Amino acid sequence: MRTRAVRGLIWQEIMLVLLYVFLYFPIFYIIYLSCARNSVWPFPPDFTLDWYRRLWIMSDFHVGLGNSILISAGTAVIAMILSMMGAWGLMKYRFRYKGFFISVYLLPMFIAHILIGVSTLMFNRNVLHIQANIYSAIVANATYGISFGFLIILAQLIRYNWQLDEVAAVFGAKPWRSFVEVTLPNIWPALFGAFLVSFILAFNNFDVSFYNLGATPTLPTVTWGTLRHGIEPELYALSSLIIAFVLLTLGVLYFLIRFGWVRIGIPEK
Amino acid sequence: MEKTVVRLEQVRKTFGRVVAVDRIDLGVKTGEFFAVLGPSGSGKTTLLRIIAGLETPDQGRVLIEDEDVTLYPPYERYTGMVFQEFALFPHKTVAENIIFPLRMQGHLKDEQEKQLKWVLNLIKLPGYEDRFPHQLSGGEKQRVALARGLVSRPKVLMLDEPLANLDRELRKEMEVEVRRFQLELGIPFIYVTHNQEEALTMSDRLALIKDGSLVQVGDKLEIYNHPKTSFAAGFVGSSNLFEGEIVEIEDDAFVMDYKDLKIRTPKCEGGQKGDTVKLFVKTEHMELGKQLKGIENTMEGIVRDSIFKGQYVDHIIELKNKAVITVSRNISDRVQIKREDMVQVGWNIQAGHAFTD
Amino acid sequence: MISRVFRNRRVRIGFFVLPATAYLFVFLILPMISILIFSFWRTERYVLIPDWNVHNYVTIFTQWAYIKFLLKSITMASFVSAICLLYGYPVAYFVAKEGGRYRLILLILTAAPFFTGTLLRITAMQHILGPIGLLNMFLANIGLAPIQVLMYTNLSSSIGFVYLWIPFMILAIYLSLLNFDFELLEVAKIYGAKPFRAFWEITWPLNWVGTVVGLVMVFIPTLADNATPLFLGGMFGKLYGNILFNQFGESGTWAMGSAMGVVLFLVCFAVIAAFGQTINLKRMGYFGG
Repeated sequence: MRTRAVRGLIWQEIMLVLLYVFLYFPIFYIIYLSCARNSVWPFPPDFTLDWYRRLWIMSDFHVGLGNSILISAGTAVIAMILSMMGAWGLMKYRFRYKGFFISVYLLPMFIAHILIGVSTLMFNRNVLHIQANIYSAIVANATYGISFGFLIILAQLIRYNWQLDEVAAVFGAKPWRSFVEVTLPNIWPALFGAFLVSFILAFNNFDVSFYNLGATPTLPTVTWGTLRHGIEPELYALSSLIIAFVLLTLGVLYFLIRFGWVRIGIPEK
Repeated sequence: MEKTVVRLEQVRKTFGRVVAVDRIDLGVKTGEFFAVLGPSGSGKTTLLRIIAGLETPDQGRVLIEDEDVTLYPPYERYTGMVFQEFALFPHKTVAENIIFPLRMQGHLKDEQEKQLKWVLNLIKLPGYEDRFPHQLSGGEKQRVALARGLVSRPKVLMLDEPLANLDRELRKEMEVEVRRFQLELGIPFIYVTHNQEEALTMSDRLALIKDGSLVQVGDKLEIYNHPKTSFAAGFVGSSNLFEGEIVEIEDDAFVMDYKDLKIRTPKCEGGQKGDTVKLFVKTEHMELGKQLKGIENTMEGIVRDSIFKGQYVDHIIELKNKAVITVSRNISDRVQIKREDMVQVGWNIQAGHAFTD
Repeated sequence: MISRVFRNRRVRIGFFVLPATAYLFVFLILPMISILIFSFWRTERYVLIPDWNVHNYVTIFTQWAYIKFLLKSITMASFVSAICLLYGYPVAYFVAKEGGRYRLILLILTAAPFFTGTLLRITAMQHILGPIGLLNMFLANIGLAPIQVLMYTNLSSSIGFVYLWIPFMILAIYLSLLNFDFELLEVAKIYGAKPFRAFWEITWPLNWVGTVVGLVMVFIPTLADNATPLFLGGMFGKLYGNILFNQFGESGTWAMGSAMGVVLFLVCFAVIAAFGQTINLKRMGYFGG
C-alpha cells in the first residue's frame, strides 16, 4: 500500500523536474551562449564578456532600453489605476450586470496580441489619422495590462474585509482618507503585483508594440530587426540581462512574501 | 431634561423584492439604553445601518438631534458603531485603532492621548497601546472595539450583536460592563440583538421587531409583563403556549378547550365563541405543588424531568391530556419534587396572556 | 460641491467601474470594429479604399491556400493545447496537492520563464533543435545522424509552442485546484470509486472552469503566433499567423489583413463560446453573486 502511493508520487515528481529542465534549459543555455566565444558550438567552454560589451555599444540598445522602460512604466501605471478602480467598484457595490463589466475587463485576455496591435494600428492610422508613436504603444499595451491587473487585484479583494471600510466611514473617515488609511495598507501588494506584471509584459511585448511604434525602437523590436539578419550573440547578452532582471525581481518578491515582510491579504483568524 | 436624540420617521427600506424595514417610527432619548430585539432577518441590523448611514432608506427620514441626516454619509453623522465581528483595523495597533475617530475629527495630539488613556482605563486594558488585534483574545478585541466607539463621544453609539462572538462566561461579564460604560458616558446606546435575555438584562427601553415592523415598543418590564401580541408574548421570556377554541364566554374570562382540558383565559379583543385563542403563561408564573388551593386554573400532571438551571429549576410536567409544559421554580422553593410524582399545576387567570391573532 | 454629486450611488459606482470600461471600449473595441469595417474594403498600392465588398472573405474561404493555413493552424493549436493539458494537469495537481510550503516557489518558477519574453526563447529553441543546433551537433559529434524530424518541422513548432504556453495551463489549473476540496476524493473512495473514476467524476468537473481557461489561454496565442513557426517551422511550417503578419508587413494589403484578423477573432470567439456552453455554473459549485 505504501509503496504504491510512493511510486505514484515519484512519477509526478519526475514530471515536475522534467518540466523545469525543459523550461529552464533554453534559458540557461542562452546565458551560457552569451558568455561563449563560439555560439555555434560553444564547447569546450570559452568564456568572454565581449558580447555584453558589444551590446552596450550597439546603437539601438540604449534607445531601445529607454523606450522599453518608458512604455512599460506608462502601461503599468495606466493598467494599475484603471484595473484597481474597476475591481474596487465591482467588489464593493451591489448592482446589476456585473457580468457584463467582468467580460469587458477580461476581453483583452482573449484577443491575440497581434490582433490588438494590428487593430490599434489601423484604427490610429485610418480613423484617428495619427502616426504611430510611443503614446499609442503605451495605450495599446495597457489594454491587456488592465486584464491582468484586474485579475490580480480581484484575487486580493475577495479576501478583503469590507466591514473595515464601513467602520472607518462611521468613525468619520471621508472616502479618500479611508482608502489611504485603511484600504491601501491592506491591499498594496496586489497593486504592486498589477504594476509589476503589466510592466514586465509590456517590456517584453513584441506583437502589440511592433505595430504601434513605427520607427521608435524598443528592445523587442530591436531584437526582431537584428534577428532578421540572423542571430547575433549580442542578443543573447540582451536576453540574459532581461532574464536576470526578471529572476531577480521574482526572487526578491518571493523572499518578501516568504519572510512576511509583505502580507498578502489579511492573516486568517 | 429628556430629549429625543435619534428619531426615525416612517423609514422604509427594500432590497429588491424584500422589505427589510417597513415604515418604522422610532425615538431614542438621551442617556437611555435602547434595545432592538428580534429574530434573524427581522430587519434590526438594517435599521441600525440606516441610522449609521451605511444604508439610505427608500422612504422616510432619519433625524439626529433634530437634524435631518437622511442623506448624509456616515462620516458626517458623528455616530459610533460596534460590530459583531469586532472589525478592528488589523494593520493598526490598539492605540491607533482607538484614536482613529479622534483623528478623523481633527482633535489635537494631546487631546487624543488624554482620551486614549481615559478609555483604556475604562475598559480595563491599560498598557495595551502597542499590541495588534491578532495578539488579542476575543474579549479583549471586543473591548477595544467598544473603546473605539466610546472615545469620540458620539451622539449615539450603535451596537450590532457585539457579544454574539464571545463565549458564555465572557458574555455575562460584558453585559454588565457595557451597561456600565453607557451609564458612565451618558450617551444613548442602541443595542441590536436576537438574544432576549441580553436585551432584558441591559436595556431601559426595548423595541420588538419582526419582519421589518415594530411589534411593541416600551419599558422592558412593560413588554415582559404586558405583551401586546402573541409574538411579543412568545419571544420575550419563556412561556408555555396553550392553543384552543373558545367554548364559553364568561363575565371576565373566556373558557378555552385545550385538548379536553378546560382553561380560563383573560378576555381579549374580538374573541367570539368558536375562535381560536392562544394563551401564553410564563413558566415562572405557574404554581406547582401536591395540592393547590384557591387557584383559578388547576390541573393534574406527572413530573417527567427536572432540569437544574442554576438559580432555578425547570420541571417538565406531562398533563392528563398528554400535553407537556414547563414550570420554573426558584431553587429555594420548599416543595420537594421527584420524577414520576403526581402534582398539581396552576395559575390565576390574569397571569396568562391571551391573543386571537 | 463635488461631494453632493457623489452622494448619488450610481455616480459613485460609475466613477469606479466606467473608466476602465470606457478605456477598453475606445482603445480595444473600437479598433476591433474598425478592422471589421476595413475588412470589407480593399487596398490599392498601400492605401485603403472604402470600396465595400466581400472579396476578402470570399478569398479566404474559397482559396485553398488560406483555408489550408487556417485549418493547419487550428489543428496545431488544438494539438498543442491537448499536449499542454495532458502534461500540465498532473503537474498542477501534484503541486497543488502535495506542494505544501513549496507551492509558492514552485509556482513562481513555473511562471518566471513566461516573463522573460517569447522572441529570444524561441530563437534559443531554434539554436537547440536546429540543424546546427545543440542537439544535432551533439549527435554529429558522437557519430549519429541528426534528427530530421526536429528540424524546421511542424513538430519543432509544436515543441516551441508547448514551451511557451504550458506555464499558462499549469497556472490556470493550479489556481482552480487551490479551491478544490481534496477531501471529496476521500469520500468518493469510501463509496467505492477507483482513482480514475474519482478523478473523472469529481476532480475533472469541479475544475472544469480552470481547465477551460488554461485551454483557451494556450489555444489563442498559438493560433495567432507568427514568430514561432517562422523560426522553428521552416519553409513548410507556415501558419495562419505568418500570413496575417505578412499582410501588414511586406505586402501591405491592409484590407485583406483586416479580414484575416476578423476571421482569427471569430475562430477564437467560437472556441470560447463553445467552451462557455459547456460550463454549467451550478454544477461547478459556484454560488451566485
